[in-house]
Amino acid sequence: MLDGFFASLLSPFGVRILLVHTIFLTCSLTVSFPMMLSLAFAVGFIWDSTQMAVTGANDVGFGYSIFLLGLTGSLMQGVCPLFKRGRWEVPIVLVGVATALLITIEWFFVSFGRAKFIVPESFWKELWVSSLLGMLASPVFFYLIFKLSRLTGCPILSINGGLKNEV
Amino acid sequence: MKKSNLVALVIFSLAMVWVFTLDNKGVHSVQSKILGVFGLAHETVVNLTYDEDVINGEPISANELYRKYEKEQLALRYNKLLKELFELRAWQGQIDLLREENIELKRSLNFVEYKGKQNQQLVVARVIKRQSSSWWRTFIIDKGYEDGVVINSPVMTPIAVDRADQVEGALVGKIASVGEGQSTVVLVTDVECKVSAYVHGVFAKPSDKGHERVQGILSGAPGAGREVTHLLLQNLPKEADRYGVSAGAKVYSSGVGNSETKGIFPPGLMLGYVKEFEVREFDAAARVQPAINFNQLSYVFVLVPISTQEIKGQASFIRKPQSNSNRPPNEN
Repeated sequence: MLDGFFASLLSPFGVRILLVHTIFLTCSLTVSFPMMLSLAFAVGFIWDSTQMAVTGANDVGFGYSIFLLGLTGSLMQGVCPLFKRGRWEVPIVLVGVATALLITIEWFFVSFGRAKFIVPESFWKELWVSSLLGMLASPVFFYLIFKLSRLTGCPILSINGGLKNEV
Repeated sequence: MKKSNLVALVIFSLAMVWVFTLDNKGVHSVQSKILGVFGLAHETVVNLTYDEDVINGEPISANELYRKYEKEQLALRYNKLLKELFELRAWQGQIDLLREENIELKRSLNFVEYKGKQNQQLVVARVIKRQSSSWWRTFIIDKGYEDGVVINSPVMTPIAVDRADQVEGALVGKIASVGEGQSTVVLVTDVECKVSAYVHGVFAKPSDKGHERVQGILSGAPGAGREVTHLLLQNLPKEADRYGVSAGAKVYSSGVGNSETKGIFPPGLMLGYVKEFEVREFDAAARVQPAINFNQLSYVFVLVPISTQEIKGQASFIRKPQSNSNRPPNEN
């Protein structure tokens, strides 16, 4: 719902915020690898189901978001140790990098499907604005995750035998 | 790598393969289920974020219309729109008709110019009467001896060749009787209307006179009508198939006449296409698909002699061909 709201809010400026993807990227830091993959599958599947119009002549195949989320989620898992130590800056930057990677790979898939590699004028703007917006939004989601963890008493990280939230 | 991670990766990969190999039907089925769950949320967001879509100040959404108007008002609006729709459809029909007429007239103009270059004089005539009892045999046109039409004048119509602006003449029939301002045309679909014809691009064995065309006599098939829509090309040489007569070959008038009558049809008029070919005991015959649709003739062209003044007054008033004995002499 929020994604739809922000998408229509930002569309007049020619930019978009990948809110669902940002939430996924922030969450992927706080769960185990198998859980991250399950999350990637669920989010990617729902995303493609609701956003993709399958006509038989699509540029990208149905389910490509699952792959993208799995890939970027795995990247995010790499900075888990830093996150455990309460360092947010690197994960936040990585959210921006992962968002940029998502958009770039998506462009590559579409171009590959069309057998024509053209970089539209709006591509660079979309790339950096979306990455920046993702980076700006991610601390909010990190904060919400920690808050939720405190309220429910659930451990945030299950890496290395399950580490309790230390913040 | 931890075992649990490896297992998760394998399961994830398998699940991805399953998704990628889903066919369109499967994807649509999945999408409809998921959209059913998320549809309500999506609709709420759309209602919150999008302005009301309007055309000329009227909302497009059916729900909005329902809220805005009473049932009676909606019924009135519906009837009004329905009326407008019917009017537009009627206009559309008129435009289509005019477009077709325009194409036909352009084609006719090109045809007249084309024939003018060949020093042939044409008179444009409108089909004014066509009786159902003699639909495949005769019709009446609005030109008579006043316009230079004489008995046996060939009647033709332009047909498009390759491009709409390139035309050639197709034979319709000949004038059977002439009146002051009307004439009766006997069609080539009539059994009694015989035209000497040749198969285009096919030659018999080379003789002393050079290559000879494969020729025959074309006429309407017995029982011509809705069931029998082809023409018959008879008296072809028995070896015609060996010479190359086959389905799809074009058939043209040859302009040859018999000893009694001079050929009345000019050569090179399109007659049709060979549909089927049959070798008989003494000769061969072909079924010919007419080049024109005899049901849709509204304007035709009559080829008249150049010096029309001398001929005026020669013809009699209209006399319909009632029996075979009354028929004009046929070409052979």
